[in-house]
Amino acid sequence: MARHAAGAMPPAGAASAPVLQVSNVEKTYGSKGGATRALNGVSFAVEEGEFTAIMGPSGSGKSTLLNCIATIDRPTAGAILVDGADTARLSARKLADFRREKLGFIFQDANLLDTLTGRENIALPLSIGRVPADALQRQVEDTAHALGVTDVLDRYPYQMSGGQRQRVAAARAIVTQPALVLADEPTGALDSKNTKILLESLDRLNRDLGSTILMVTHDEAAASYCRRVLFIRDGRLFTQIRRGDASRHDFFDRIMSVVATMGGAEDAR
Amino acid sequence: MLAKLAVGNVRRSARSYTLYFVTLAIGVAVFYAFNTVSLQADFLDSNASDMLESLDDVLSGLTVFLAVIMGFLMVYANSFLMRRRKQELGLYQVLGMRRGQVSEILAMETLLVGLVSFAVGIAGGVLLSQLLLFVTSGLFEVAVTHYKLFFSTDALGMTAGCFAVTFAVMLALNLVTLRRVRLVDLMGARRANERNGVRSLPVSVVLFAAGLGAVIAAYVRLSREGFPGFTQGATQTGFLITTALVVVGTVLLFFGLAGTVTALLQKMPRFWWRDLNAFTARQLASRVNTTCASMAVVSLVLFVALTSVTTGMAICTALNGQANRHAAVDATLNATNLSGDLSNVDVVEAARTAGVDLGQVGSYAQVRVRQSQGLVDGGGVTMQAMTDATGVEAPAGYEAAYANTLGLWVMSASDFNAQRALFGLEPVSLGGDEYLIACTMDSASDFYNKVLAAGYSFGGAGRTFHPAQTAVIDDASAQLENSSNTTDTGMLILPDDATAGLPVYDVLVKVRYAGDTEAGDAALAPLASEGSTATVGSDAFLSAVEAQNPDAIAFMVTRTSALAAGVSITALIVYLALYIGFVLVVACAAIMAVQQLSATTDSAGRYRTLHELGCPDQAIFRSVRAQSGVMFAAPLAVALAHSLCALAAVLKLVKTFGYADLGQTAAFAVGIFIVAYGGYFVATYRAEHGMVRQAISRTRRAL
Repeated sequence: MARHAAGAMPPAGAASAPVLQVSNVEKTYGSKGGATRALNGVSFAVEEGEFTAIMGPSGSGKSTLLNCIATIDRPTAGAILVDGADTARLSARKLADFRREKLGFIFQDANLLDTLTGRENIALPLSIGRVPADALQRQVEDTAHALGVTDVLDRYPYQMSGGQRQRVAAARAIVTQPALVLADEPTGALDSKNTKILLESLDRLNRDLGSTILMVTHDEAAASYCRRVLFIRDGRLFTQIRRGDASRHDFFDRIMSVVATMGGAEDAR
Repeated sequence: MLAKLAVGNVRRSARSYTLYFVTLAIGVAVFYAFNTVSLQADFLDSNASDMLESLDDVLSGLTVFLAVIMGFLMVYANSFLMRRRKQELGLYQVLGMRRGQVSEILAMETLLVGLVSFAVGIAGGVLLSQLLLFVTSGLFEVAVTHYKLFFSTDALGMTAGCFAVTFAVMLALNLVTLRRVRLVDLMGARRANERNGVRSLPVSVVLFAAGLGAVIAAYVRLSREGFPGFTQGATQTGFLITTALVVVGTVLLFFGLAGTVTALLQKMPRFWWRDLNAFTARQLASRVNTTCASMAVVSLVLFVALTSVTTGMAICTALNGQANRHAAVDATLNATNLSGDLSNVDVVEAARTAGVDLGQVGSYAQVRVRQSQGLVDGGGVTMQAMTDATGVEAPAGYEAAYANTLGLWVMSASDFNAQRALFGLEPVSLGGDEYLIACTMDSASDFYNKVLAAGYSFGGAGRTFHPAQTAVIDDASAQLENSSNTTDTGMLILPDDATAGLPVYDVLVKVRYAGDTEAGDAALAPLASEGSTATVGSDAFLSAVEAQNPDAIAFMVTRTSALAAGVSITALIVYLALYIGFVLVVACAAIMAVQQLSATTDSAGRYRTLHELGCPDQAIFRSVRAQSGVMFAAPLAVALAHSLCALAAVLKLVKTFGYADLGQTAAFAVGIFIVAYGGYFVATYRAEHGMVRQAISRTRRAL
């Protein structure tokens, strides 16, 4: 699979267009007087089948970036292309369809609808997209099986453990087979055991089903499950590292050292 | 500083305050207007104003009832608002504000909202009371004599007093809530109710079935047994059991409703797994389950409101329709006694003794009304005997009527024709063995018409009587004394020779004035006792009749007095029914509205999630609309079902007063309902729409 350097446009004639292309994205909050620049020209690309993490300290702009990619927020400048479509050019109506068909979301707090059972939660994106009932039920079963949550399908969220909730949320995110799965601090509310189970599930989704996953996290251990880590600081891409053939443990150490550099630079300011 | 915070809070949460505020203002307006009713009398003719002032006592009793309802409503709405605000109040304390200061903010907020809504409410009340004056004059069929904008300080004081008390209660409750709740709970208040609203489906189905069974049992009991005091065989205990069944059934119905409907819908995968249907159904289930008790109460209260308004209007129409019909002639004079025989009484002569020469007043006819006792073997000609012979079912409510206990009255054909001539009506003709029935009470007439059509015959006076025609005579000549409503349950017209031996219970004179009504009434005044609505004759008239027969009592009723009596009854009933109905409907609608808004706020996060998952906004709003629609409609639908059943039974009774037109009265009641209840629904949905839009447009908090 082709890999490109972050921050650069993909070279012409690439075998396939990247799933996500972020070019010079800027985001400014507030008015002229007290404007805050959350993103200051971020560019990178994510290829099909990649499992990428975005790391950065609080206030670095990583969640703003994710919100822009998720089309929940709009960048002030720059372009974001998901599966070849420019998200800035989509109408509000198209945007809803776009989110449902191209993107899958996993939030920190699972964000399951507490009045619905696990099955109904996973089915939601399909039923909104008017998938026929029998095909829908089959897809829900298959996805639940892949994430190991078949036994909690008929439970309500409050009857599940935190880890189960998060895996049901992951199932909901991938049930439509989206081009890109976005995860915002998915392990933030989990203990270490459930964190491990969830990350292994995501890793399996990535390798077995070929899901493209972009995960925002500030947990180095979580990031070490990915194939590539992008570091963001002060609204800019700071650096990126790839796992390559390194073991997860080695990759973790490399991540730690980058984080230490970033943090040190911050303190020195 | 604290005041600024309080004002800011009210302004910021204006949306959630709106309905609360509107409800308070409507409460104040209705309350004020209601208390000005006695004042309105000053603008009306003397006759009507007398009656209105006599209503005043009843009204002040109702005022207390109104105050309690409105007070409850305000406190309820307030407690919902408080729940909404818990987190914010907790935040103040976390920031280091003393409890006393938080209480102060709360008190100021309550006071601020209270004062503004009071001012708006009084302004609305003043307008409403002007409007009400013209409604009143229309009801009393009198003109507004000297209109000017009026304002009642008494009503203002009364309203202010009740409002102050309600506010004191609200404030006290708020402060208690604040004091009781621990900080950690205050901060967590928003998450607390997330687990509510899930109930096992089989249990729900059982509850629902039990509720449905109880309600159906109550319906059957009511239609079979009727009301105690009106229907024979209906006991107070029996009625209480029916009432209990309805109440318990309704509560169970709502407890089981959500689960049962969910279970049913899940059986339809094509529906369940389409769009937001599953979400909407689950949301509704959760809402219904958390509020089922209050939904049941709302439903029962709506039921009471619906029945009271419709019944009130039906009785009113019945009475109004009768007023002219049952006071068919300018005046009636009569001497009556049920137990004696008044053959020797001459009322025209007695009137002359009392100082009135009826020949001078106009034309008149003196007739004798007899009992049918002794006409046939074993007593009179009774409704029961007719039922036994023809199988036609006797109408409800007539078990104790004279037509059943003593038998129908009897009048000779020549007497009957004599008074028909007074109306310019054609005389009736009877063969030697024929009879006719005269009756002005519609439900009884229906019965007699069927009896006549069945060819009912009876033996008496040495022959067998057959009907001379198959229809009851129900024109003006069939009415005996002038009256505000029907009291005559039926009279046989027989050939002269057959009536000779029957006891005379009533000697009746119908008078038709030669000149205008005012002159005629004045000429008859010496025969009338003091007081415009009394029917007993003056002392002179009474003693003149007594001199002829010591058992007889004299009466005199002019059409004017009969109509006045009828109007005062009508106006009273309409007033009370409308007011109670309106207040109850507004109260119910406001409770539903407050609940819906609070539920929508609780669900804001869910709508945001749906939005993020790529659900089109229209689908989200469709779901919100469906939820609110069902929440508003469900209690109304149950109340309507109850009302239809109860009204069917009530109308049978109202018919005994006379003619009742349900179509028109129901339309009126339903009209009031649609405006008040529907208005609240629309306002609620608009507020919800705004809240949801706000929720989904807000970006997720950035970390």
